[in-house]
Amino acid sequence: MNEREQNLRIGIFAVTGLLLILAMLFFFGLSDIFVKKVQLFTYFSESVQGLNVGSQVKYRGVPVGSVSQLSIEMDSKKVFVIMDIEPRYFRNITRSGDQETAFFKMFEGEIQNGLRCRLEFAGITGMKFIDLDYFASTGKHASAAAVRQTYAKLPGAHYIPSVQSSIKDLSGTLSSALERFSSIRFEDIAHELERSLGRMSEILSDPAIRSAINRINDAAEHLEVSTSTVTRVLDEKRLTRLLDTLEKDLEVIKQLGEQLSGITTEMKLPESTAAFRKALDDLLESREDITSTLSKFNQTLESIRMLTDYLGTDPSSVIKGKQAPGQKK
Amino acid sequence: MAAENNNRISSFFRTAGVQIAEPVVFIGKVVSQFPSLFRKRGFRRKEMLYYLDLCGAKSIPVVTLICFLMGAVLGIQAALQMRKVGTEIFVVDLVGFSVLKEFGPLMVAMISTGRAASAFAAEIGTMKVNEEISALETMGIDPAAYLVYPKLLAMLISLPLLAVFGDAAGIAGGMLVGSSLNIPFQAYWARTIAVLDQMTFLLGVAKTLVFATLITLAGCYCGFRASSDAQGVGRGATSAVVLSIFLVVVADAVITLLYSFIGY
Repeated sequence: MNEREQNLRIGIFAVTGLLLILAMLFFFGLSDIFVKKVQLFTYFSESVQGLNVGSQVKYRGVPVGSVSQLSIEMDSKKVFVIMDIEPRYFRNITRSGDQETAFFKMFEGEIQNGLRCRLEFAGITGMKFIDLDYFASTGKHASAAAVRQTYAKLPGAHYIPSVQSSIKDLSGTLSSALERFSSIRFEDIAHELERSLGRMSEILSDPAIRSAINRINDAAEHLEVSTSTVTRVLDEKRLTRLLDTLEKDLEVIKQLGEQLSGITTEMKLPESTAAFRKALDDLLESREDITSTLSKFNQTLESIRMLTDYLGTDPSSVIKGKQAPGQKK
Repeated sequence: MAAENNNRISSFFRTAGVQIAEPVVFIGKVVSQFPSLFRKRGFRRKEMLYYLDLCGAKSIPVVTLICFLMGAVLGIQAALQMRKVGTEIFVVDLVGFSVLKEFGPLMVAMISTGRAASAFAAEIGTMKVNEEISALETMGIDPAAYLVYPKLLAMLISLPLLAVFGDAAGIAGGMLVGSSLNIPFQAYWARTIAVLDQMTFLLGVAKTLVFATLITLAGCYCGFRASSDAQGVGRGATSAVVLSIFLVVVADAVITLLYSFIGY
């Protein structure tokens, strides 16, 4: 009985231990064997410090895979990264039969729509992950030759272009801002400011300016007095009365306007205008006659002037008549 | 005077040489008897099962409890620090890696040191007092191999299995602490299986094979070296525990260093 109990204990110990070993092996990586994966690759032209084999790949925050290889392309000095992606995370495509084909079909479409990959920090530890998303920048594509070469080595893999990480962008912007900032000539500005302040001080100490300021002060005082007077005169009652009167006047103006409008209608403006236009045309037509009449009138006036001049020099001519030229008076 | 000093120095080195050589001789005896395991009646299955029960099956409760509490304590200490910077989720990583790589195997080894090494030393020491060892030698049986192999085999089987129990209990302890930090069980488990890999687990378990060998040999060696009286048996058991702990810690440091060369 004692031996039976001993064997039972050992049996339970061994079986449970072995089951635990299998369970742990399964959960800590053996289960990956049964998961369908597809490969993506990209090139980063910046440092991938913090990115390791096994680092996460996320699509809009959802962990869809991991980095499986990191290497350096010495021709272009770029970092070559291969990612293992699990298509099971993309629900709409996994309903179809062939996951891999469906995934790549969807993937090509999304690349056309602007899907790119970018390095992102996974927290304050400096670890990074690859973020698949749609960014404002379309990024730089790797050279076609390099991509072709990789396709030859990895027939099942697909290329995804990368964009610069936000930190890299930020540091670029910051450094360019600092460069611009350092190009500002602060000393010159300070000198100019000093000069301006000196001039301003001179202007302010000018007697004319002082007198103007005094006058402005006086004017302000007067204005204050006037305002207080107006305030005193225009108390609330008066103001209300004034407003009432104004309202009534406006009403009268409105009525006048209406009456005027009626009169204007009664005046038959279109007919009057037509008659006026006709008279103007007639006047234009008789212009030549008027001109000729006026010319004759001028000549007449000239003759009268000459007559009066002559009569002025020889009044007797009214009785005797006009003498012939060279005749004695 | 000079001759006396020379005698003292030579005596010291002779004693030191003997002290160093004795364990090596003992290991040599054990290894030389390895083929005897494959002879008819060479393998003592009954004894092996006895030690498997003693050092393995009966150790499950204490191993599970200690490793569970170790995982929980580790989680609490880590959480207290990580909460300051809002990185509580990394408690999962710390507890997982610490338990699988270090604390699981080490705690199991320490418990086995107390349970097995002292028991082995006391048992062999008592046999020596009762002159059973001399009787075995008289019968032409090598006591080193006869008594050591069943214990060694039992330890080589039980310690890795106990380490797996310890690992599971440690992770469960951390998970309990995680739930108090508002990390749901599912999230804790998902993070655990995401960050831990099978190689980390297997390398941690592999350590226990070395620990098992060292604990068994140290326990048996101290038993054989014990003086043939009641006090000698007690001293043998004590020195077995001390030597085992020392050897386990040194071996752990060396193995950790070796693992670091392969990136683990």
